[in-house]
Amino acid sequence: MAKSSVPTLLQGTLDLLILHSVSRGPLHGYAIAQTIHLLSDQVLKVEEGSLYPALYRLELDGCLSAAWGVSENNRKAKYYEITKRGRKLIAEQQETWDRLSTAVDLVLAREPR
Amino acid sequence: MIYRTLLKMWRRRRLARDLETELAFHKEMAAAANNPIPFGNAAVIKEHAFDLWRFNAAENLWRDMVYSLRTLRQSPGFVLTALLSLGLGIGVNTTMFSLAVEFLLSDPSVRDAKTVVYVRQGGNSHVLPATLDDLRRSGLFAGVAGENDEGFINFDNGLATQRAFATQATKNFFSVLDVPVRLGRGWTENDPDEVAVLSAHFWRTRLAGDPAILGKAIRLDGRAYTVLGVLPENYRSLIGYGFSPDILVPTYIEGSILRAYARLKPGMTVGQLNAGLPALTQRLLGEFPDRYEANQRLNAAPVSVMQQLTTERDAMTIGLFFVILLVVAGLILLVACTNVAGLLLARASVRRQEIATRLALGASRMRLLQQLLMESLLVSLAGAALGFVLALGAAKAMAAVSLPLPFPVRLHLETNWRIVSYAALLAVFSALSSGLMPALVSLKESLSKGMRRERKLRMRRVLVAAQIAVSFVVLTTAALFLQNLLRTNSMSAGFDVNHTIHAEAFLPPHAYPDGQDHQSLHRPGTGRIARDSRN
Repeated sequence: MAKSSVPTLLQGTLDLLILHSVSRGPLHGYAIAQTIHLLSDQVLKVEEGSLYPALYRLELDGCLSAAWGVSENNRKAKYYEITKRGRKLIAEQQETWDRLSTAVDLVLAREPR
Repeated sequence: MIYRTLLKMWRRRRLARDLETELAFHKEMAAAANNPIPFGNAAVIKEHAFDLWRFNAAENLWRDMVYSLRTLRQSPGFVLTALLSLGLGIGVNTTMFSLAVEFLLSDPSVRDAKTVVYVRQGGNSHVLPATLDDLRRSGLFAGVAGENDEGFINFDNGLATQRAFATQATKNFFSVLDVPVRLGRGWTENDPDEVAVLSAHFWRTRLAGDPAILGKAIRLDGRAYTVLGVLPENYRSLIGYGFSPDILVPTYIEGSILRAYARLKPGMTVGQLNAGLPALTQRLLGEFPDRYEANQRLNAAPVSVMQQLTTERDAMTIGLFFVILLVVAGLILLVACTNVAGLLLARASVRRQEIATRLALGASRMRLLQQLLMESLLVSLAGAALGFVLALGAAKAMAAVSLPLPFPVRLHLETNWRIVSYAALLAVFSALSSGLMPALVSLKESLSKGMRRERKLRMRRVLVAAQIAVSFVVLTTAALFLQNLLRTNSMSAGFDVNHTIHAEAFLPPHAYPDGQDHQSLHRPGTGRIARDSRN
């Protein structure tokens, strides 16, 4: 999917990033992608090919709720809002991610024997 | 889970539209912000989203069905044979089941049959009219009514006099038992004696279904009776077993003995009532020593057939009879299923290549099994539909034919949810029992080449052996029933039946009030026969 110069999203982290983006208030799909892009200092790029299936899955799982609204440029857009269940998932996944990244850092910081 | 699936199916179209709108919006925003416009394939995204929502499982099912229909169309011979086998099998079963439902699960036509009991004195089916009064006065019941089903009445339609089966009942019959009446009403205590309520059959066949029959007079036993009402088509008499008299009239033969039916007081059970009846018998015995005997205790039995099945020995015997009938019918269906299984097994070898190819292309065994079973399910469902039509025809024929019996029996085989779900159950059962084994065999053998012939031959042998065994049981049972029937026909009556004439005449009781009149009617005839035969 991505060339080696562009870091790809690790499996499972997309959900966490999406949920984090909407944790401050409801956003539409494009805004979620932009939020992730900007918050990562324009390193991470979420393609809509992965974004929308993920959004639909999270909605189906009950981590997000969706409602149609009007966007800033007066267009009909679907706004995703985090649910109680979604917040729980953030907490869980955050922990997993922390352990994973610490572990990776540890490995890289030490010389192999 | 099922609810969610249905919800998803329903939402499918909306989901596709939503996704499209969303993607269009996304593109527009990207363009406005001067970001690279995504090239993503919208169809792929949709596919992903749909996969999430598990539309594919439903779609696979649909595809399997279409595919199965196509393959079945290519082998009409197989379909026809399987359809006939299963159709007959399921038809027989459904008919037997509806018979069993009619006999075992249908309560007589009274309100709340569970609170009505049949009161007997010892083993006698009928009691004296005075006993009814005693029962009423006892205060044990909410109401006591009586009827006598064994009467005849002469119906004069203006051209000829025909015999009709009449039930005489007490004046409170309709008020105590709440027998439903389709047209008009039942009689009350305020009505005169010469009123009648007709059965739907009698009304249709003898009175041409005259819609203005209510209030008209018909001639019964030479007297004019006013028609008060017509019973519903599916009226079930208290005797049950399809016994359906033509006419209901208030007691017209003075002193007729009656079957006593009583309505329980609210909250009282049959058991509680039966506990109180010995004391009542004892009391009545003291009061009327001429009408009661110490060894003929009053006892009550439920009229609801379901209740009878658990308490009455006669009803249990009949229940057992139907269980046997259903088992035999089930065995016939089993034979039909093994028949179809054999056919499917033969087909399996033809389709071996197709299955091997699909397995090689990565189809999962579950998917193939699902598809193979879909085929037998379709055949079975079609068979069930055919069987259901056959059963409907049988029910109609049974309702139309009056059985050659000396008493009126008419069966109302109803098509209700019980029968429909039984047929559906049979369809699933026959789909599995005829389809599962051949499907598994064909999946297995498409992989192992060497074992193929051996296993299939063994499978065939097992099938044939099962078929013969089951057929043997069915035939033996049929032979036993037949033998019994022949034996009852040839049973000796204990006298010379070949030179004996039996004649019956039903004399209106008001025209021939006592035995003297009867004698004067038949004496000349019997006298002449006696004289002639002596010569």
